[in-house]
Amino acid sequence: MKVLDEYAAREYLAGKGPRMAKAILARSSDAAVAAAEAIGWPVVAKASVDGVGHKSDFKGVELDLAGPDALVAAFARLSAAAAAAGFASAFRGILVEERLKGAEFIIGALRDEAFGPVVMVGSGGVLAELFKDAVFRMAPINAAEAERAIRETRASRFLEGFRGSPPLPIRPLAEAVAAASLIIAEDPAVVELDLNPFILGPSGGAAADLLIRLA
Amino acid sequence: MPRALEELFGARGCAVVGASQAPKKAGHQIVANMLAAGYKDGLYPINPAGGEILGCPCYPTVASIPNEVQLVILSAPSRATASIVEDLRKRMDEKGDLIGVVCAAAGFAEVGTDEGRSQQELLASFCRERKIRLIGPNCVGIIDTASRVDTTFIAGIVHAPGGISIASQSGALGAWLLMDWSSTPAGRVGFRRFITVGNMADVDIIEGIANLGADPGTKVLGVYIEGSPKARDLAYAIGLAASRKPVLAIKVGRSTEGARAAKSHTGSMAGADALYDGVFHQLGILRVRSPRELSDGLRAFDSLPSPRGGRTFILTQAGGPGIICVDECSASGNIVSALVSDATKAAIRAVVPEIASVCEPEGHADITAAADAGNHVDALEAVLRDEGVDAVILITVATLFLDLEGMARSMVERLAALRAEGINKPIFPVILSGEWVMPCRRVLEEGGLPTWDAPDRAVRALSLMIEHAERSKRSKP
Repeated sequence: MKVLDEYAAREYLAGKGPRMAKAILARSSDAAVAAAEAIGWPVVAKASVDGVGHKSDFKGVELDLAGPDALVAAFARLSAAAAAAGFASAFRGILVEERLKGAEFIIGALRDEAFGPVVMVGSGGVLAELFKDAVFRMAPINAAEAERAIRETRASRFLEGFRGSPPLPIRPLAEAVAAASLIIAEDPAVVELDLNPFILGPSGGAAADLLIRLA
Repeated sequence: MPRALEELFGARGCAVVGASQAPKKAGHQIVANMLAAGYKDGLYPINPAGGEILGCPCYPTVASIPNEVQLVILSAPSRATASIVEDLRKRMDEKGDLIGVVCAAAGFAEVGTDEGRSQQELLASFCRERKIRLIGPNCVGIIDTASRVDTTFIAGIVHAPGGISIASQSGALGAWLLMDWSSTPAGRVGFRRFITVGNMADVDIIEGIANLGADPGTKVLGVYIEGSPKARDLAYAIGLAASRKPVLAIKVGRSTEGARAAKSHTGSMAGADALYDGVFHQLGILRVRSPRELSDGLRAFDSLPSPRGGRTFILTQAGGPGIICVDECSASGNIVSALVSDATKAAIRAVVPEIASVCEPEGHADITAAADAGNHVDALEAVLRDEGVDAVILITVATLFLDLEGMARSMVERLAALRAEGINKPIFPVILSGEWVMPCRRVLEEGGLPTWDAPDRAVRALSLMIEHAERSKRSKP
């Protein structure tokens, strides 16, 4: 049983998965700034630690870094946080990522003992487990069935535009759910897959984090 | 290829091993149920003491029955399995006519002992070897009101023909419904088939569901499942049935979630209940939460025409119950107010007391306690004639001056006349309440219209019908 953290999981899927936020691994603060220039400010910085999926457990994520000074300072803090959490040897560097804005969903997939491969969609972010707003389907499914699953979630209220936020297109989310369902259905090595959050904005969506567990 | 389960429902000749003269024994009740069901193809109680049971002469063994025997029901203790198998082996060697065994007796693999498991294997391996289908052990077996078979020892069943079938992993759950139906206002609910599978030594719940899904006499199917390691196959079997007819399912064990090493958020949220919920939606299976809801839904689907959509009119003679019904409808998620035309509003006003409140709010008319039987029926007709109405919930509370039975009789006649004109929509009469209104409800139910003792029950049954109708529309190319 092996957990692939975001960087390793991105490499594992290598383009066949759902759309991901743009990201570049930087091993120095200079490289981080160059990466941010290439991606576009503001950016998100994440400590990339081999085998550690849940970065918020050790304060390994910094959001909304608007310029080089903030990013350089974040680089130092994240390196220190990873070291303090005992991950010094597994620390790869900082993953500099596109800052996506929109509603947060979770897309998941797993191999259930009784049902086999299943896919899930629901309310995302760190509160995903608290609200348990998740809808399952046996995998694989197409985007049309994914749309029906999405409409069963409470989070689907975001699609119509919730409290002044703009309406959101369902299709990019549905396509990502269908893509996740194909991965779990077709790759027997994958046991669990989390895309959390998948951030959906008015002009499209992408996953801002990824975790894979291999058998 | 094993024989199809289907053949057992039409079995010619049935022996009951362990048949008893003592009325409180299962082996007596099975004979009684076969007779009550009207089985006429040869019923042979097996009892070495001889004599008769309920007028049927007893035989010492299955092998000694001179006539054809296709089905054997076992109600003898599990420790007698070896001698029973020897008797059945002799029968097969000499006549070779058995096709099915229903083992109603308990004390086999379900008790978890080596002894129990080996008795079960003894019986099951004999059946496999001789190509005899085995239902059970530890089950009440099958009922078919068309071929008049009832292998169960459930007391109080009224064997009325109908379109409802049930496949259940629990015999008692089935018994609950079947016994309950004898205390409905008309004293019966028609049904088609009932299958329980017990220990599933051969016939399993998946095969039972597949049989009922394919059975043309089954108009609506109820399923009770406790879970299966082959959940995916089970889901596909129910889903295949659901592609042919409405299927209502109870899946129990909602609180027990499979232990899972939760490395991912997804893993921590994938409880068995959430998985079944999603899969049922995926396959168009209607999930119900209680035996009452199951029974209500089955009755509605069997007796009522499918609604074209969710546009529902609430016609009430009582204020509070009408408002409760409006609340229940809005909580249902798929019932919407029927917006009727001005002409319909005028037509309603013309046939109800002056103090009535018509379409304030829309989709609702309170014809008040001043309404008489004729007012009810005339207003119902006016509502049904409106193109914008898919279904009607009619609520009335018995008053001293309302001729409820007269209303029921004239409603049954009026609906028949409207059907002849091609107006055929589901109507849910909520008749409040208690023993006082039973004669009225009996007239309606004998006229083919299920009645309801609370608005929420009617609303839930209607909501299931709408869910199915919308799903069917979607799956048509």
